Amino acid sequence: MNKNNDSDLLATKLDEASEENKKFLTKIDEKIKKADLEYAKIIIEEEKAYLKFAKKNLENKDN
Amino acid sequence: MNNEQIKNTEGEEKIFNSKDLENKSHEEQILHLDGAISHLSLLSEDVENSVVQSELERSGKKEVVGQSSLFDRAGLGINKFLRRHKGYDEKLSEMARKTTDKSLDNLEKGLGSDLLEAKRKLTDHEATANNDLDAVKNLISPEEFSLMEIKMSQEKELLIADKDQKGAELQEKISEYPAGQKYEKIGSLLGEYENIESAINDKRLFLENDIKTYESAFKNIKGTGETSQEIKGKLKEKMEILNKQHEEIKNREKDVKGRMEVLKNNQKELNPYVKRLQTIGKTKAEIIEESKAQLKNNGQNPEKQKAEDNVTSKNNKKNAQPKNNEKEEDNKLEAVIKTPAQWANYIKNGDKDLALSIKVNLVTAFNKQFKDKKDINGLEATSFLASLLKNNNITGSEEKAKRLIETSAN
Repeated sequence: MNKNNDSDLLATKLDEASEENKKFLTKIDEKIKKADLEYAKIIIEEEKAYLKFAKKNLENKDN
Repeated sequence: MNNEQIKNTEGEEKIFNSKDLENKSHEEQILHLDGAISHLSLLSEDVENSVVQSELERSGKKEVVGQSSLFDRAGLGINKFLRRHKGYDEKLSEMARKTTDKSLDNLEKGLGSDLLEAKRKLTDHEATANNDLDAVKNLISPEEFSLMEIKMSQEKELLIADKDQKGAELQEKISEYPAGQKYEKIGSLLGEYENIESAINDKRLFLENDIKTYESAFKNIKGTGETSQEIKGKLKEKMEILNKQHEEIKNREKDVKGRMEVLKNNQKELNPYVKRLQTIGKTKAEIIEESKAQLKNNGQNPEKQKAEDNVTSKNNKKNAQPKNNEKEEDNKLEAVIKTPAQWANYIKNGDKDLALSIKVNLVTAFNKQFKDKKDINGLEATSFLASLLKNNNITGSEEKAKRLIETSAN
């Protein structure tokens, strides 16, 4: 009886731990995606900033 | 632009081209640049609205492969990431970068040099004004001397105003430089990845500890016969799932560390450029003074000290094996004992990750609490924890206490 209880309890714990790990992985993946998106935006913003700079430079020359 | 358009844009005709800029008037060139900037603005929105969304959908269960692709493409930057999009023009980009570099040279020679000259004039004035006044003090009347003092003071104010104005103009220009802006953004993003890495590291350590606990519990399950073998087989399968998840968590940690390395290299590459921006318009004395102040701050700045402490604590955590580092465990459990309300809150608010992460320490805290009692049993520990939970208005305290004790017991 006790042995059955032990194995049932362990099985429950393992299932719970597995579920928690799944949730953790999903949560962490979302965070990584969000940060990756920020990085992609930084790269694009940098490019935009260079073009804006070039434009401003041309405008100054014009004036 | 929708997902399909983004995927199929490689090799399409560009909507603008740097060659179009040749033999054009300034006005026309500016119009082309406007087009390029607008396009990049749209592209930025596309990345947020479409590219990432499609990546999220596409990645499905292959999280590790899926999650790295966006970062890698962005990391490879202009060549691999932007080139695939309609409207991107490498030559235009290159031209803009050269223009910016040239502009920095001009800024150094122009406004930077002007500011240095303004500072020099002010210093000279400060150095000579008192000597000049002393020299004429006995040669002119008190009224004339007073007028001269006023004149000197007015001259000084004008020089200060001129220096301040040039300084402000220079700062405004410097703040427009893309490299400086990128450096700051990269620094902030690096902090975000560090937080993610720290959370994964915590999770991995506690999972490793849990796995040991489960393995030990598994070994203690005795019994022979067909039914027992079947039960053991199922448990083994469940433990295998946990081991695979442990591998996945380890992979995530590796992925994030890889991203952090890329960002640190980005910072290293930008560093000389940023340092150059920081020294334009500054005298040698000012540069030396700032370096000294920075060194001093590094030793005394509470924020930096806090950051260093975090690194040390993180390293300690990384090196710590829950059963092999008693001193660290003692520190952790002290923290748990001192902040039961905070711990209780984690459970109350449903933050299972946090609750799980301190669970081991909590049990250790009980061990310490009951260390002098030789006949301590699970029931006594459970009731101690239950009362702790109850005092913090946690519903289902008995059940939760029991679960925590059972899960964490070796």
